[in-house]
Amino acid sequence: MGLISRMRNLLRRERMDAEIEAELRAHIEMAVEDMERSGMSEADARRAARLRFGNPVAMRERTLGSDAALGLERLWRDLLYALRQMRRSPGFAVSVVATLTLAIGVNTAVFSMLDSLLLRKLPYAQPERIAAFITHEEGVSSHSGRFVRQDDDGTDTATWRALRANVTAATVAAYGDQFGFSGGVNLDAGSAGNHAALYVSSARVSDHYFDVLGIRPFLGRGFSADEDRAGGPNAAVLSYDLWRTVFHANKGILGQAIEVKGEPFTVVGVLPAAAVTPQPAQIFVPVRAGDPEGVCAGGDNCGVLMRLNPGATWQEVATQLAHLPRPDYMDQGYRTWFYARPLQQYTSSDLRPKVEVLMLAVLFILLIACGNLAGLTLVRMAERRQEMATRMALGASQATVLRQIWVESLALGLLGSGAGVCLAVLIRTSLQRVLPAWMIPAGGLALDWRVLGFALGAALATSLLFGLLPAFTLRRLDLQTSLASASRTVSGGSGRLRRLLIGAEVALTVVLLSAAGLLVRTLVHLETLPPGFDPHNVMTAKASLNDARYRDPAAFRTLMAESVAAMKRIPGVEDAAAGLSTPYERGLNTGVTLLDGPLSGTKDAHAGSSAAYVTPGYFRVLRVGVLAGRTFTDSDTPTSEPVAVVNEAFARTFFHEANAVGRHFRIGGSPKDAVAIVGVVGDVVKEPGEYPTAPLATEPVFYIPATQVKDPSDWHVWFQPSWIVRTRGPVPGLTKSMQQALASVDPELPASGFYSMEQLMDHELQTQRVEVLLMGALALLALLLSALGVYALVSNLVVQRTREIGIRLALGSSLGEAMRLMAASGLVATCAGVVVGLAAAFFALRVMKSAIYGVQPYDPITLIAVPLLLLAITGVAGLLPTLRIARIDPATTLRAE
Amino acid sequence: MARNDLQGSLDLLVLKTLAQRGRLHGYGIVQHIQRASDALLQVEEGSLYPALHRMEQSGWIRSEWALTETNRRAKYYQMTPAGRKQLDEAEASFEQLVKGVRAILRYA
Repeated sequence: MGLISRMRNLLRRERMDAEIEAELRAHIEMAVEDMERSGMSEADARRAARLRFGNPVAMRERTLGSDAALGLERLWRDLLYALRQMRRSPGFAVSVVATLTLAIGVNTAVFSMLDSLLLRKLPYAQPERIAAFITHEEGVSSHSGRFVRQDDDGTDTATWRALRANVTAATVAAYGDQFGFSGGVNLDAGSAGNHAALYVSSARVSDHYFDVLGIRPFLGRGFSADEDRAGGPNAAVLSYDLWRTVFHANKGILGQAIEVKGEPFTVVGVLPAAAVTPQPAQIFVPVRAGDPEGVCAGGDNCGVLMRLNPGATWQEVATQLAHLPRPDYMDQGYRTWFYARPLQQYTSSDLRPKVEVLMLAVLFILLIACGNLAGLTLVRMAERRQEMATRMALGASQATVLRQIWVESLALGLLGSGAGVCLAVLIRTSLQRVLPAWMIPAGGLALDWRVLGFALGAALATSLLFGLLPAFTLRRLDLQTSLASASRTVSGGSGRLRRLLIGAEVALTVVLLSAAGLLVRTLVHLETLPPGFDPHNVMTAKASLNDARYRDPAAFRTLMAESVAAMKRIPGVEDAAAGLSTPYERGLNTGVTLLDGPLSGTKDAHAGSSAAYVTPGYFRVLRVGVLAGRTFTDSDTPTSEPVAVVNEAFARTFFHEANAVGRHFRIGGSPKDAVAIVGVVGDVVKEPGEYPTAPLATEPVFYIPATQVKDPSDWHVWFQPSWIVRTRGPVPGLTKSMQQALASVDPELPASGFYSMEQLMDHELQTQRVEVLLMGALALLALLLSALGVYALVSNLVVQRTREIGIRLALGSSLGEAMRLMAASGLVATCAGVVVGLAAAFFALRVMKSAIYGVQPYDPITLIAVPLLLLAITGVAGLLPTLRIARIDPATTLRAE
Repeated sequence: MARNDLQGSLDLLVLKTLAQRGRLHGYGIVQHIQRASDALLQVEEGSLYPALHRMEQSGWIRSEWALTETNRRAKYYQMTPAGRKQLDEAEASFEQLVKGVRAILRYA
């Protein structure tokens, strides 16, 4: 026959069935004829023939069964049967599909994060040939005396020059770091645009940067070596988007000058539309890493990427790196090693541990879901026992029945998987909106074949798993007793199994809830830190002064004075001031040398501190407490005595007393910059720059008057100043008024953003917020699933022991007692799970130490609240089904079966 | 009665029957085997029809509906050339099996 005829058989099953029936009937008739001829009566002959023949239905089944081609058709029938079963008892199907959807949905969503971050290739040409330059430091710090082992991804000018000179096996390129709100510049599109000043995002890169990334400019080229050296011509490369929108896709843009940062820059290139860079920017300018007065001079503000040259090996690169001289800025107590870390590893190193923890959490959820599915399946099998026994008595083989059950499981699994993928897409869309930009990998969250394969695989694995359980039930199926009683008894063994599953589910939920609890406590702790100022009704505006027009201190002073005055004139504004940084923001890190006090003259006289300049009234506007001395006034001018105001942390850390008025210190190294402390103010919460311990903390800060800033570009190349206004209440159109006030002093100065104090705090706590959101959602999902499991367990128990309860009630037991009895089994399993879960949490929570602030991993409040919450929820879940006992009428149950 | 020993040899017996008798329906095959083996072998109808169906799928026999002597419609089976080849092979391997079993029995 062959494949073709087998396929044809598929379609003619009905006909085949009829034909076989006819054939068998003919056989019987002929046998009857023969027996009649040998003397039997027709009735006897017929009976004898039937007996010999056996079960005609089974015979037909077996004959058809031998047809291999019908295998496919059989599957189809099994599928239809499965669908009928689902329609008959939708509860089971809905529960299974819903559980699978939730579990597979979150698993797929998190896996897509994992995939985008760790598995998917970076969106650069041949990304495995790109690496980041890393300096590994080990040794005793000469400042703190403690042993330090860390990786540094920065480079200074000397190291950069050495890299360019020595490393020939790879093309090296430098880029400037970006932090805070400093990643943009003022752009005046000039005659090309509509002459409105814009603020655009920017990045500083060296020559060959785009070569290293494998990006070929759409127009023109990247920077040349001449443009990237100190004093070289100013050049700019535009993003495709910027070129299209602001410059109207002008193909003749190359060679034209545009005004960036107040100076003319020649456009030398435009990037292609699909280009992805590690730092998304609309305009690129040279970083000039070799300039000892440039941005990379400090030592940790620039990074290096390299691409392996054709024909070279990483081994050669490693050898060449080993010959680099040790950097000057490095602490003398450290030993250093240089190496090239593959780019994928480098970019994912921050996020990797977090995503791995999330993956573990969703796997927990999958396990919990499987536990529930197993419970549901066990009950279902008990319910269908009678039906299965009937089928087998009628001639179906065990294999047939099992196969049908597997097809049903598979169908449910596929449905759940499909719905799960849809849920994952939904989650992914919301994640892309909710997650901060640095948490989303380059190129967005993937939904590629790997992710879909994962979803399918997870669904198949779970459905096969809970499709195996019926096989065990079937083996112990006693046809006779099963046919006789329609009881939905679950045998003692599987009841124990279900309680064990519930216990395990609860244990996993405890771990997840505890982790989420710690994160919540961390967030609350950070949010409720005493701010040190009054954050209500305060609005800030930022603008980039990294601009040629404000290099001159006089121009800068004029801007400060006039713009603050203009802000004060806005109706509704109570008070206004300006400063380099605001509360919650990072300040500029700089070195100080203490000139008197207990630490002066010692090696600790050189220290680091955060620094800012402020206008008079800054502390008044923010309502920061003045603890000693005075703050700045109009009498602090460029020619009067250089003064500073420090915060309490500065005073205590460096002078060991709260009142440091009258002390002196030097800013940086040069003796000209000695200042006298005239006031001490309260600590304000901010993102620590010098001593990073937490997202928000207090650290030593000193402030100088804006009028005494000698070189504004020192400050403005890194940070944008903020104009701060305090209003009496919400003022409509406030930000517009602030922009207008700024424009009234300088029409070509665009504001880069407006932020309320709440928004600034949110920005600093982004990571914590996201962690709480994700982990909290997963923990709550686990709690829901566990509660559902407990509900199902007790519910089945009630149904199964209805008769027993009827008897108890008839014999005089009270309703309450009966309910308690039923709820007890669920409660016991839950309590056992809580105990095991707490023990597991003790080990598991230790890994969270680096993510939590202000709480210990063994936080007693969390470890008490979590079990209480769990017991409360699962207690309710266990009690609800027992309410049904109230409806049990002992008389009816005793009679019925 | 060697009722169950037919498992492997059922194909062989059916093919041999058809080779000897030409065209037969299922009932006829059962009767022939019973008679020709002096009632030593009794084919289970439950095994015969699946086997017939399987052999037809494999292309060793072909079937057609026809009338019996008593004007009853029945499905008649006939061997195909491929079936003849299969018969020769099956017969040869069966001879080998018998020879081997005999040798072992004599050895002991």
